[in-house]
Amino acid sequence: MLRPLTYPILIWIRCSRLYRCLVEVTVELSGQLLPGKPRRRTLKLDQPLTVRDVAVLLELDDEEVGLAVINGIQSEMEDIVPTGSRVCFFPYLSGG
Amino acid sequence: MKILRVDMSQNQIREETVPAAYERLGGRALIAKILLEEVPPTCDALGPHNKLIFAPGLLAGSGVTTAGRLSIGGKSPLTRGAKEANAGGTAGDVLGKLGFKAVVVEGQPSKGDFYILYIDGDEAEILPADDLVGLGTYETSDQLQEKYGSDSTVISIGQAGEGCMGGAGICVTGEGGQRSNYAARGGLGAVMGSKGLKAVVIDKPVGKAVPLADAEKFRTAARTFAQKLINDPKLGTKGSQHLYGTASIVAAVNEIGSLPTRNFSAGNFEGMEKLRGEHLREVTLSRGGEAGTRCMPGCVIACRNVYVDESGKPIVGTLQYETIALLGSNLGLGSLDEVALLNRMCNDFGLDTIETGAALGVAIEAGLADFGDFASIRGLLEQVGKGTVLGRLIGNGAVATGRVLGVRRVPAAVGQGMPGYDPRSLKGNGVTYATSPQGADHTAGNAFGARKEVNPLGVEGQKELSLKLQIIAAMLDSTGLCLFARPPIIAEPQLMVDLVNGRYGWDWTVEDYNRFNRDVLRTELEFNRRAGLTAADYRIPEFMREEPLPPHAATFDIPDSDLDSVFEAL
Repeated sequence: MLRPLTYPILIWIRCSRLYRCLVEVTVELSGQLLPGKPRRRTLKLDQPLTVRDVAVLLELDDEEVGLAVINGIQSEMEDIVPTGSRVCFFPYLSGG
Repeated sequence: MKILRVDMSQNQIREETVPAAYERLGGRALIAKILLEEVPPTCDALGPHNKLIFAPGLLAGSGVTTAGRLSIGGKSPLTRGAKEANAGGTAGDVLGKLGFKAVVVEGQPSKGDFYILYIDGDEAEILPADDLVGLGTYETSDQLQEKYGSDSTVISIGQAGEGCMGGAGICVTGEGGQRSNYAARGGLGAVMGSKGLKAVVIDKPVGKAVPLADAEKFRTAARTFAQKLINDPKLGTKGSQHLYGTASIVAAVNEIGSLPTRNFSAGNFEGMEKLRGEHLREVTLSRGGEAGTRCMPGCVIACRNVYVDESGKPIVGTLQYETIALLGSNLGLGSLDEVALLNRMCNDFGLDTIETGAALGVAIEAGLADFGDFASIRGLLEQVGKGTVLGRLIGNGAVATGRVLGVRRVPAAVGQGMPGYDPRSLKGNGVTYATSPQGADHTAGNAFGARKEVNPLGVEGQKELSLKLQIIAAMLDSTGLCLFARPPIIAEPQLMVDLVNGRYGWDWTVEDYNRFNRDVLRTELEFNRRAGLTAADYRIPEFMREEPLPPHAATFDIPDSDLDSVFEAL
């Protein structure tokens, strides 16, 4: 028989596994980052990732990403992408 | 080099050698200096004492890539201050090759007649333009090139300029029958109209080349500059600017919540997908149009396009970001075909698409048409060409339209309509709109390209960023370089110093060059001060400080004290 303290630990492990499975991120690519890839897709991640990790997952060349935006806010490549986010990757752009 | 003085009061032309005070100036720098030295700052912008100045940049005609832009300037009827707007096409290049430092148009004809200024090599004459009065810029350019040669350059105004409307720009032709390169901003087309000048025609110079004081230094720097542009990830043949044109930024500006939508009431537009650069390229190429074409001879960026209809017939060349923002999302229109048709109308009437888009947004807010209803919007714009009272209202820009129609939400600063970045979510641009001596003008210091340096939604660092960008813009506008050519010069200022020294044999250092760029702003600010502009003019409209902009609920919260102190570090 399990000791009482073990139950919360098991629940925590179960929830965190469940959580891992539920990290969903919508990503969108623009311009030269697009060829050969879908413009939009939803990624199901088993753990929170940084913007750079997501870029790697999408096989984007780090050198080609000029701007990454999470939920409308410009972000750094080391920022963590929260679950339910929309992440847009743009190539280098110049103001019109 | 020489200056051509054209006196429209006396119908006389004279050529003068360049005074020492103007010798080391070009483009915007020269315009600022002439305004300060020669134009009474409080004069009527549309009266005889204002001057219309055509000034190619310091590198004009020398074959440096992207350096052929023609600066046009005068006192603005919109901002009441110093104004410079520049255009691509062939005018800057040919005036440079002909050795013109500037063409200065002075006075005013007494009867309101219209004329052509015809420049053929060293000769120039003023000719009647009776047969061109009332024509749009397309027909004007067609008729003049038919008469003077298809390789001649035509600088013209349309009905808006003839009617001295504050939203009027000046149109410049380019190579191969190219139309609609615009020195659009600030109402300089109205100044040209007030001078009774319908067009300037310049014969193509044959066998003319600018002298190079140190050819080796110049050519080495010019080659390096071109190669750096080609290698730049934004600008080269694989770069966004070349592939998708200036429209490459539509999706990004929308994503950061700064795309003007329905008279600047939101920063996202639900119809953006059909306005974005990738869609523009796809539609253009699938219909047989052109993408990646040049507005100036020898430009290695080539960000222009020729947008065509479903049958492959050109509608407009070129469809640009600012136009898509102001005549598209700002009016609730999500169709490039519709934007292109409005763009063509503006080009033909000789209207700035930014000012006109802002004015139409205000008119729609007043109930004169409906957002997203192309037919009603086109109906409003048609009034400009007809010269009706309503058309003259729209043609006089956003501020005039708002004042007459009682609309408080007018997106303008220093009297000029705002370009395609809402300043509440790109605050660096707000600082530029409010404080630039040029008024709300993105080309005077666009923070979009510098978004990684400063958080667009934050307060910190915006005034420093704006000042830095304004100084760079002053440099570009004075050398004739395109705005997009800035990366190599920022990275290596010595390149620009070598180009100028190689061209003229001067002994400029990087410090001299920095002083030169800053002096442009100092001169313009001084002209504006003498013209009566005060801190109260250098402001963002009140509604943008109070009304949160979706999606970030952002307001323009840069303190007035920051706006007032931008130039303390100049």
